[in-house]
Amino acid sequence: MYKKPSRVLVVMTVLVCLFISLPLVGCQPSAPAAPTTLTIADALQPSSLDIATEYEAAAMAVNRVVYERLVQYKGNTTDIVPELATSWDQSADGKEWTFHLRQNVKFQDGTPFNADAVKYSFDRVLKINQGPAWMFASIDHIDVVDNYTVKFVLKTPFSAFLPALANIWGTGIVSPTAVKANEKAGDLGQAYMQDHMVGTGPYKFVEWVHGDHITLERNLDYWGGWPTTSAGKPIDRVIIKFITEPATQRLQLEKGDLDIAMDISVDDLAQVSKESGMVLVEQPSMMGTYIRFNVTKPPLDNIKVRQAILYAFDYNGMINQVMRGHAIQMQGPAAIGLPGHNDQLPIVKQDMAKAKQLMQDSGVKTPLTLTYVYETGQEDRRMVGELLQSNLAELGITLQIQTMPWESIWGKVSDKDKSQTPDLTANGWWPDYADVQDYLYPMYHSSQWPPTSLNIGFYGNPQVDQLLDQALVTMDANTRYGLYEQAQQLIFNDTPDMDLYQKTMTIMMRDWVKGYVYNPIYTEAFNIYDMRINKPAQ
Amino acid sequence: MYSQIIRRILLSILAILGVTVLVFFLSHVVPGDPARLAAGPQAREEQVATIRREYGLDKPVVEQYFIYMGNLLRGNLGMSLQSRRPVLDDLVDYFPATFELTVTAMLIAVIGGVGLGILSAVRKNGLADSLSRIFSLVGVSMPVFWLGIVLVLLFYRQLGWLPFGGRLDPSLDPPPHITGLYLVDSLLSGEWATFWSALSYLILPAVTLAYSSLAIVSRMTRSSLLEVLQEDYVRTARAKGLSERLVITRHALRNALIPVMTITGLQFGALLGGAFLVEVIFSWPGLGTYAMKAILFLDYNGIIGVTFLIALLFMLTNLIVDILYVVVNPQMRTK
Repeated sequence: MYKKPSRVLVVMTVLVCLFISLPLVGCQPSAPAAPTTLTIADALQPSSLDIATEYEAAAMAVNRVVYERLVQYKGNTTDIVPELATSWDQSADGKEWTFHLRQNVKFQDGTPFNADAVKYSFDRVLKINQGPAWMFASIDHIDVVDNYTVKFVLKTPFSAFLPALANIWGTGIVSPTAVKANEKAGDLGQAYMQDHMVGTGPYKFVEWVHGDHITLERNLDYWGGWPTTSAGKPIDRVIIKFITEPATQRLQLEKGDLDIAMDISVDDLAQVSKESGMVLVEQPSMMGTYIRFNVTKPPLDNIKVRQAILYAFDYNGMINQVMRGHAIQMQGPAAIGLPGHNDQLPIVKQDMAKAKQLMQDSGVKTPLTLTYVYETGQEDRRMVGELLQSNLAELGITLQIQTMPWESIWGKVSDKDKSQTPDLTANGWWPDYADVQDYLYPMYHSSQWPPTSLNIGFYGNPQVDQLLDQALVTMDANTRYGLYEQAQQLIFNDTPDMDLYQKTMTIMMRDWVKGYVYNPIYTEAFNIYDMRINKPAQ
Repeated sequence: MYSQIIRRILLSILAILGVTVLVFFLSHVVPGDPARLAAGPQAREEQVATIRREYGLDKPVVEQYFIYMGNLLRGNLGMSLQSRRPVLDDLVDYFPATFELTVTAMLIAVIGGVGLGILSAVRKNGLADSLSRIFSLVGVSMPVFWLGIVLVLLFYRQLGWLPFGGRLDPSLDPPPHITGLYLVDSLLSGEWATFWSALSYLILPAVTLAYSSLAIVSRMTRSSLLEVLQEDYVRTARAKGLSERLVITRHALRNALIPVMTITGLQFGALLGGAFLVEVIFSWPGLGTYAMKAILFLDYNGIIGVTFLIALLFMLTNLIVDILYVVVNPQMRTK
């Protein structure tokens, strides 16, 4: 009889103590944090960390600082400068590229970096043949000339070879020792490298708690050394947290638990950037958004109808209302800012009178109905469709808006029966490397119709094909860019699509983060080696 | 009694088989090519074909199903297209987080709900009863995401009492993987800082998830207890001169809890489902996060793996409830 109340009493006491201590739990500093930790929130988690297979924006941030490439894009430019190579030569025919490598460089596992490692890394990418491998399809073989010289021999000249080597996917040099030690059943270490990274970069991989975060730590043996500058000490630890909800990212950034939030909602950007201690970094990206016409199917096989639609669209409304100013209008089919972009092309303005005249000249009878398809979840493309729908009503065209997953769109455009392809399809394109070839060839060369690549409007112009083919093997940059500019002019004249906008990249950070430099190719990566944190003591 | 339990187990196996058929074929009729999604937009057709071959996607759907079931019987859930590793490894990584959250929420719901229900019943129509009924009514009617946001704004942003986002302070290393449950693992390995951090991160999502179930359990307990308190044997117990506490705990509650137990079993399923939403709000790295990505990627094996696991758990919980029901209620044993 007496035991029972006392047991209840004990339980109650424990519960009360627990609840009283809860606030203290939250308040108490949980273990001393590393002196300088950079915490970044990203909505997306990478699928894999394997440099040979990963090909998604989510892996960019870790890839950029754990691995190093032979060459890299400098600062905020698309200029190519050395990284693990110190210099390079190319043969006159553009088929042989020789790289002289940096000496006294070690991988994070302590093994030396040399020409064998370069050959091993690229051979591995080509053997696995996934994700980024297509960018290196021109490689025939790689020769190790000596310990610090390596030669790439190409099947055919490829003018964008160097820009492709500076891109972030598949180019990082991986420690052959680490891969070979963890190879299972001839998988080239894929199972192990899926969640491990061993490169030469300034930060080394510590852990990946799936669904939660990735931690990186300063590589104290980094070949570049760790100078303390007047801006402060280097960052010791990097934590990339995967937070899908933009509202959660915002709360944690405001609270100071995050230093950088990559996915603040467009609706919140203006408000958050006004709060004290917040810095909004907004830079133009090279991510283009288009509406592609199915040029094989009436009435869009008629260029005048395509041009009528082009001039009927309200571009100002698109930038100001749909994109709320977080975009710039495109100038022709290639992204503004890319080397080889044609700056002489007009930036199209809405001209309804011209549109009506073109429609009349086309001889196509109205009213008519066209379909517009966009990928589910791409809200800006939905709003673009609605804007276009209201504009086209004035021309007597009814635009039916449909949404479906990209895979279904792909199924439709890959269908041999071209009448299955929607009349208008919205799609986006971002550059893997800084060369206009990466835009024009896959989207406008007639050999690139689906399922081969992304020429989803089935555009074809022999003159354009010839210019693009010629540019591909022309090593002199100026001559090559001249060819590309001509091609862009021809494509613009043919109007196989509407070139809409390039979104701006928006990253919200606390003002104690210093030294961040945005690169238009490494869009979602950070130059953490040069960045500093001057966080006030809490 | 035993034949009943065996019958229940056999029925559960059949139901799980049904679930695999349903999910397998439903996920395969969704339009789209998972191999192309996995290969990326720029991939050449041969690369896509390689992936299709590696993952057996080039075979007829029915054949794929039998291959899948054959592998499943050997404990192989296949490779995930999105993470490119065995689905089983993914589940081992993600499931403990969801389980820890759900079980904690369940404990809060049951202990809190039953306690509140008893209080409400014994103080019928008093102030405590009215307050508890309002509390329960709010619980069953409030959307879980709204409650989550309110709690976060109050306890994280305004008061700063509790952390938010994730399972653990990221500057701490997770405890050694024994069960995958951070609270248990950190206790077993004696890492107190980790334990307190994990507990503090768990409170807000668990309370958010538990609230509506707590409200349901509380209402059920109250009405069931009130009904039982009218019974003759309760009057007899009181007439014997037993204290009110003993009357309630010994005589009334045991009988009143039988319907509550059934509801609790069903609530576990609801909590597992609700956990998916709570995980998104609190960036909780559990199955919800994984399942969402699997669905976006049309990762068949991932989707089926998650559904299979949830179905299995749901069946198991209901089986346990059925068995407990028989144990608690002697009438059931003789029937």
